[in-house]
Amino acid sequence: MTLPNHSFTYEAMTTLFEVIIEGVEQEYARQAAGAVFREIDRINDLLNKYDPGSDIGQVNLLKPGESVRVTLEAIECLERAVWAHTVSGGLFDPTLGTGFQWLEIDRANFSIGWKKDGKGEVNLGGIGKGYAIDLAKDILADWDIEKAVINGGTSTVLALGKKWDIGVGGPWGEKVGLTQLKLEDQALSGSGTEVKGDHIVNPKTGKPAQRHLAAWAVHPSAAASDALSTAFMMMPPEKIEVLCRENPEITAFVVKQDKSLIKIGV
Amino acid sequence: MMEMKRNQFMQSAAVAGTMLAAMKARAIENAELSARKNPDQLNIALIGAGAQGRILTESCLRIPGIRFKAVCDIWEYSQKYTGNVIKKYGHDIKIYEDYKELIAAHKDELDAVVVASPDWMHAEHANACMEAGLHVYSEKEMSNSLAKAATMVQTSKATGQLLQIGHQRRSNPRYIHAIETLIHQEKLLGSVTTATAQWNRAKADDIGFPKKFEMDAATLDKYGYNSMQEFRNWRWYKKYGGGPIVDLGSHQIDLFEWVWENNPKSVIASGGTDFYDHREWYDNVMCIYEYDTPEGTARAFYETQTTTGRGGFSEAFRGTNGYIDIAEVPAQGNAAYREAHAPEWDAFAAKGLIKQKATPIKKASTKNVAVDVRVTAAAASWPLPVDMTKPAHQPHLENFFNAIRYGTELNCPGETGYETCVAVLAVNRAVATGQKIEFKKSDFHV
Repeated sequence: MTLPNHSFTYEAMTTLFEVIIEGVEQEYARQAAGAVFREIDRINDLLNKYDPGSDIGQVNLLKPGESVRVTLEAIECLERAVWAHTVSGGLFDPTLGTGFQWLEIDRANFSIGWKKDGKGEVNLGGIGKGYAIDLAKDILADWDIEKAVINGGTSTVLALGKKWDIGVGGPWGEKVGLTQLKLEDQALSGSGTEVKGDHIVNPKTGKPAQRHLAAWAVHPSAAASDALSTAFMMMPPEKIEVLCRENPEITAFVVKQDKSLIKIGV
Repeated sequence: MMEMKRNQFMQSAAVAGTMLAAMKARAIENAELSARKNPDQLNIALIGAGAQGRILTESCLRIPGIRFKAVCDIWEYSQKYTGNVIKKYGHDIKIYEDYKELIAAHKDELDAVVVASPDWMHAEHANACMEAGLHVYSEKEMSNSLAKAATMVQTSKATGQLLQIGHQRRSNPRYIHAIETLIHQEKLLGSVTTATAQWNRAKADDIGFPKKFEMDAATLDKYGYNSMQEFRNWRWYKKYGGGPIVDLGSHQIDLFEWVWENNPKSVIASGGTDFYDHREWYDNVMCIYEYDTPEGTARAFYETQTTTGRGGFSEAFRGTNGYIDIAEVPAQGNAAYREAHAPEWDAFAAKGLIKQKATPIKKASTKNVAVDVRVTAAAASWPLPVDMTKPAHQPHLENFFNAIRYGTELNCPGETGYETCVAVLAVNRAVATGQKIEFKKSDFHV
């Protein structure tokens, strides 16, 4: 007998998170989802740049040459952001163009700081949700829940334990015939101009990213897909192609300005 | 009448002064003792490694020179949950299920223990640590039993060990500025005649546990828990906790005593187990305290709701010249508001004690009219100028470690924590009996 899916929602990180759980009793699923939501709140409290007492809030208050001890979570999230910065040729930038070159992560001392020449402002808005979803996956593993979907405000979705049909949605996806993907132990993130308009800023120009109409990234890590989808909006298709070739776990879908869809790494 | 009150105040101030002097002497003695150990590195252990234990742990890991040596929790999941974090930071720790084994094995190398177990175990854990020669930081509430809370103060006195109670707002620079500088020193609000505070939470069901980490009945019984359900939701059960008024209210009711520098003289309360049928403690409580002040009786209203999140958590101290809205999360309260008739506050702003907010309306921006009536003048808000740039519990832990290292005065010693415990636990009694509770001065001292 297959048990039905159970779905639970929770407001956090200024969006609506959803957890869909298959294969366990309703009450057990609810309790596990509760544990996931508490974990997301915990991560938000560490990464929230609007709280001067959070890890990232403290980093942003530092002067050039200073550093502060933070949680491993803040370090790991920022390390993944640095990875996305590297592979996107600087188009994903956790400082949004304010001073990535001065950022210093000192893992041995569990600290984050700025070089003596300058400082910027860290903003993990483009990766924090995905990172929280990655950690939520570990919570579900504690609870022996294998088949689940964790959905962060529909912009990043992690599908676990079986092939899930994930709706890609959005007007651009529909127009180009990209409506559904099958994902298993993979995350899908989307960025586009349809919901918030031109909300992605190119860190190199400080101007809205206009290169594409919409972009999606698939990666085993939700933090990575979250960051990559933002970067893909600004990356030329040939660069995305190189990236996907060098990192076979990455898949990209891009709707170009001429409303054509390109699929890379599929 | 006024004369008598003043006399009473002078007397209690004198008593407080003597106690303070004694405490300082003891703290210096303790500092000398610990200086013989290794003041650069303080070795600590954690008893109670659940969600709150983990929060305190993460703050401890940020403080230079703090080294974890051992962690105790009766539940394997909590041992891993917090123990793994400490291990990732490179601390070599031993994990224990039984706190007695932890103390026996580590008391010689430890300086202090952080206690974050369920409320009903605080006294047993803290007392055993102090008797073994260790300083203790204990989460509030000291206990769900006043008698047990009193033993903590007695043990601290008898052993000379430091006991800090986890009312962390007492070390929060924002609260210190608002209460000690603006209200006490500068008299910004004039006479503080009333206060309100609340902590409301949206409806929430019981929390559970991963199946593979279920404790067996024998283990639960050994440590006094009737079931996993009660163990995980202990705050709702009379045996283990004190309910929302204690879990949430205690932090804020503690502030009333800080603001008025006095214990309450009475409390009335109403509440009930009205929504969650299976829980023992009141899921909603409203109460009113009365405090004697030099200007007459002051009253404070407090409510905690667990069926609505309306308004979240915040406190307001309200005086004849203005009021301060404040909350542990600044976005929920972080400003002073001047009454229109009060003397100007620009001088306070000029000294940097409050921030001057820009005038909300600029006449020049409207065309051909004297006043643009579409724009509502915002109330004169004067943001507090102090930021809390650390996690909520870190300064309070730093205060505790500084007391061990340098003899710094504790911001919430056991005696102060006990006073709050008396005031807070009385609310549950007032609800149960439907009677007004009148306090005697002696009620607040062990």
